[in-house]
Amino acid sequence: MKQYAKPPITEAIVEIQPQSEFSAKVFERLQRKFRKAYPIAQAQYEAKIEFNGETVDASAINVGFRFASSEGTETLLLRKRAFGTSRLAPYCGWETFSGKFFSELEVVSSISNLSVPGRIGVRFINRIDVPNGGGNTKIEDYMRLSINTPDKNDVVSRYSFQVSFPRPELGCNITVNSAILPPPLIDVTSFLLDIDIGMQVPSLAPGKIKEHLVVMRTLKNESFESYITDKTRELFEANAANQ
Amino acid sequence: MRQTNEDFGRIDVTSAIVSTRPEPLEVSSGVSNEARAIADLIRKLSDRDPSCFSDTEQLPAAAFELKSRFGQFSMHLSPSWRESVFKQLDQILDKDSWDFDDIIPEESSWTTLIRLLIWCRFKRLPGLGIFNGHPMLTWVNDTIRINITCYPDDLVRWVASRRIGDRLESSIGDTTPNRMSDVLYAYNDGSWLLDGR
Repeated sequence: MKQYAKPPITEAIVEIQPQSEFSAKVFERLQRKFRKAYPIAQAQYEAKIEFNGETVDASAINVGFRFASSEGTETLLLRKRAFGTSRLAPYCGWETFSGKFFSELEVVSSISNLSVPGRIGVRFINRIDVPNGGGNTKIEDYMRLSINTPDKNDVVSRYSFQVSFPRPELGCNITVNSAILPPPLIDVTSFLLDIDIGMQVPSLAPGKIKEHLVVMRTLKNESFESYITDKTRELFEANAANQ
Repeated sequence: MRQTNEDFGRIDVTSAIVSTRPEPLEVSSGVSNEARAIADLIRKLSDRDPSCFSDTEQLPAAAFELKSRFGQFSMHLSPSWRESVFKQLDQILDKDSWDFDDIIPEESSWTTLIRLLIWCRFKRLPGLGIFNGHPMLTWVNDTIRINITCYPDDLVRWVASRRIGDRLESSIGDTTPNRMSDVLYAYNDGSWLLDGR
């Protein structure tokens, strides 16, 4: 896999979802443990909205916590039925990213039995910024996974789609979200390329997960490369400002 | 409502997640009363601020949000700029030096700062400050002083002065990040701040 000078990854996530919830005791212990390790802890709430005839009621239930590092790049998500780590940009490379996940997974594994069935998810969210000089960008110049319109002269200013590709031979399912995002920079067209790979596994024990992640990472890289063009790749090598 | 790739990244399709730092909900004038009632309820849930940050806890949380926002554009800025901005941000948002009556910068002003830095490609690292809750950049040399304050929606306000002999020439105004380098050209003596043209 090619290492880009300026990878477009804005967030990389690895997550496990055991078949059943962590027990209240385990959840409490994990929460206390991670609170000590991370300077920032934010409660996450699920909003429930109920219609009762003419009235509407809303309530919020705490479903977990998001712990974050002070550098603004590492986060850990703990929910009653999920655990994961995420790396925000700048991406630090697979070895560092997965190393962080496994070190935190060892903490979870020391408190909770992970030799249970569940799902592993690997998700890479990319934002591909294409300078457009204030004009239009031809989507097909940069994205091979794209949309067709009846008239090839159509100018597409916004699109958004989700597509799934089952890969039964690998036991995986790939879900891709792609879109043109509201431009975060000036005179730039930004494409979202969000690749989520999921796998159901009989055991979430760390040793087993390592084997699966190798397969999922390879699939993620192959997918990413197949969805973009050489012109896109050139963007990841161009010089950054202020260098 | 503003939508970014982060929003796409964190949508949970089986439930509605209310962030502890929500965006304000905007309801179109054309929606039904029921939709308006739901929006009000969600706003009330959001206003509870379930994490209940104390004053001192707010600072690292705010620093994280601003840094992670900056990091989203790290591919367009050199690592030394990121390090410098983060170091200065840590000093500004340090609990021992922060005046808790001051206003923590909001993401919208911070985004303007990021767009300005990427567009203008300044040659020198700025000093970072906060003015009334808005980030402010400062460059100073022997004869020139430039302050740029960043506001939401791509508004930047500059104050620049330059000593010419015994006279002080100064200017002040509002513009957008993509016009800023043109405006500052008169203060770019010897291309010290911006690439020459």
